[in-house]
Amino acid sequence: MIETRNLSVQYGAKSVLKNINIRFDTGEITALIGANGCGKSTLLRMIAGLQSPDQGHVLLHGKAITQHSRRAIAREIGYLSQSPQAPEGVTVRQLVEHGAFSGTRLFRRPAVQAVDEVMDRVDLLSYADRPFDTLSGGERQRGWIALTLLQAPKILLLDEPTSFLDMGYRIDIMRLVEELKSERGMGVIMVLHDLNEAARFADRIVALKDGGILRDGDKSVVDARLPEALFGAKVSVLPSGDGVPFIKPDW
Amino acid sequence: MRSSASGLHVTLLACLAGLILMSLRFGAVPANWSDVFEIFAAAPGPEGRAILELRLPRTACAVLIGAYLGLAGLVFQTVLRNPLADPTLFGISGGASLAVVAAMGIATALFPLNASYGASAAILPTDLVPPIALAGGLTATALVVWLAWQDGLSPLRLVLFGAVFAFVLNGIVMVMVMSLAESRTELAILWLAGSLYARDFANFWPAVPWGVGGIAVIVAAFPWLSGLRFDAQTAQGMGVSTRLATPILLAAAAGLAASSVSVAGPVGFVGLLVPHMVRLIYGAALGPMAGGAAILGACLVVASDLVGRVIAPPIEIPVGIVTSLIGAPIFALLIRREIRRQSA
Repeated sequence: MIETRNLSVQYGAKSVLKNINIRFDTGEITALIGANGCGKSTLLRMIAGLQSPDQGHVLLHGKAITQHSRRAIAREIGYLSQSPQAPEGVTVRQLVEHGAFSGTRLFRRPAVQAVDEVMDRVDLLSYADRPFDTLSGGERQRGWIALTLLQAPKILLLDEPTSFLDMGYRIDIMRLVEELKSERGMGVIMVLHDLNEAARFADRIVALKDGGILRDGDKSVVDARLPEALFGAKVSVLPSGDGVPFIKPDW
Repeated sequence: MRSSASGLHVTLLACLAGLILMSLRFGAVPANWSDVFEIFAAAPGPEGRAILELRLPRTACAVLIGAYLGLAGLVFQTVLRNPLADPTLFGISGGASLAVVAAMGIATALFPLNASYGASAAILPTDLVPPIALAGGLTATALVVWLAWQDGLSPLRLVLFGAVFAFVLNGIVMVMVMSLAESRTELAILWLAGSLYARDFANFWPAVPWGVGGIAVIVAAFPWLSGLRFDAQTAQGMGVSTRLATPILLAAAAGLAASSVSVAGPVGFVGLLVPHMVRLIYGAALGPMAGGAAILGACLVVASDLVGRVIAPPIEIPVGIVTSLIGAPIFALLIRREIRRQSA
């Protein structure tokens, strides 16, 4: 559904992404992992059509993403940045309603039922009339996800969706992502820092290093050598009993 | 939510109606309520005619520029996500002022004093002032946008270039005012203070199409405006084309602000203050806020003009000075309230 062709980006003299060729489809959770500054968020923004590459193309349904209108892209791809900013004082409902922009005709308000349905899906319906900025970090993250769900995208892009959240909310968000994949057949591409989260919840793991793709595969990609290759960190891999590797840093 | 917004609209409209009636009733020339309602008669008396010919067009101008400035201020603050953004920040007022003062200077050099022209424009025909101001305001805005444009418009770049440009323009205007002959300096300062003195329907009607056009654009682009309240990436992610939306909405707001400056000169604080007041009254629902900004802006300018006329008759305090004197303390109170709310 989305593919990149020879995607390259430079920030000043630093080459962040070099000739990246990769394809993403629906019905699959992909984790983008790598050291800070390795280009994970840049790649995500390019896939969303929010940033232009210096070279190469992003194709959406085989057509250059630049040839799609912003509204058309939003109907296919939901994007959530690392720290989105909500307008001051909006209620949860007012925030979520903005997700209907790409699919609603001019001067039409989004259907209340559709807004209620996505708020209910992320367990925020009872908070609908509360000011968004009074919610906890995890509740806010669910509110943002509800906004993107209202766009009814086929692929959801999440830039570090569990950063700054406590363990309870991290599990909560990751389970929600899993459910969205199984219920709606959505594709999800997430930038993650925690290799254990990636190994536990992602179907596919793409490790970026030095502007290129170091590894691309299933959970088995996460082994004892990967953290050292990506971060220079020594780790042990513990057996978890269910086939998912568990990484323990050697402090 | 909707019904409460409608109720607030009705309340504000009732306030505006009351202020309009008071603006028609009170002023340097004594009149009573029967004189005010005489304007609807086929043959009004002398007081009724004075109200019809002097106070009615002046009040209409006050409603118009108040509504334009209130709405333009809301659009500027929303698009730029900056609570201090207002038409003065963009060089709209500075550009209009520079154009008018420059035209006064040129007229002074070219033509001797012409007594046949109106009192406020003894050196420049009154009907020339609005188009000159409009052209100056829009040119200045276009220059700010041109300077700030780099692969699209960033709110921060626009605000910074707008502020720098406004300072430069104000400096040039001051130098030009000082270089005018003494009798002309007074007229220039009166215009620069923002005054509705001697404004009639000849000033009012040319500004109407700008308002109709600007408001139509803002209404049509309203979903964009609402989306621009988010950070740029989130707005784009939900389908808002920020590259298109930002310049289109800013142009509409600049048109409203520049046409209001063309009617009365730069009237300060309305575009800055009104969006804060409507946020307080209507909460975060942008649609009701936009309607409220237009009505409240009109209320503020009509009330300020009325105060300026009745406080020390026959001397008139220009409306721009009254809006600043009323607006600055209210703005300071709002900021204090906001600081207390955030620290609570």
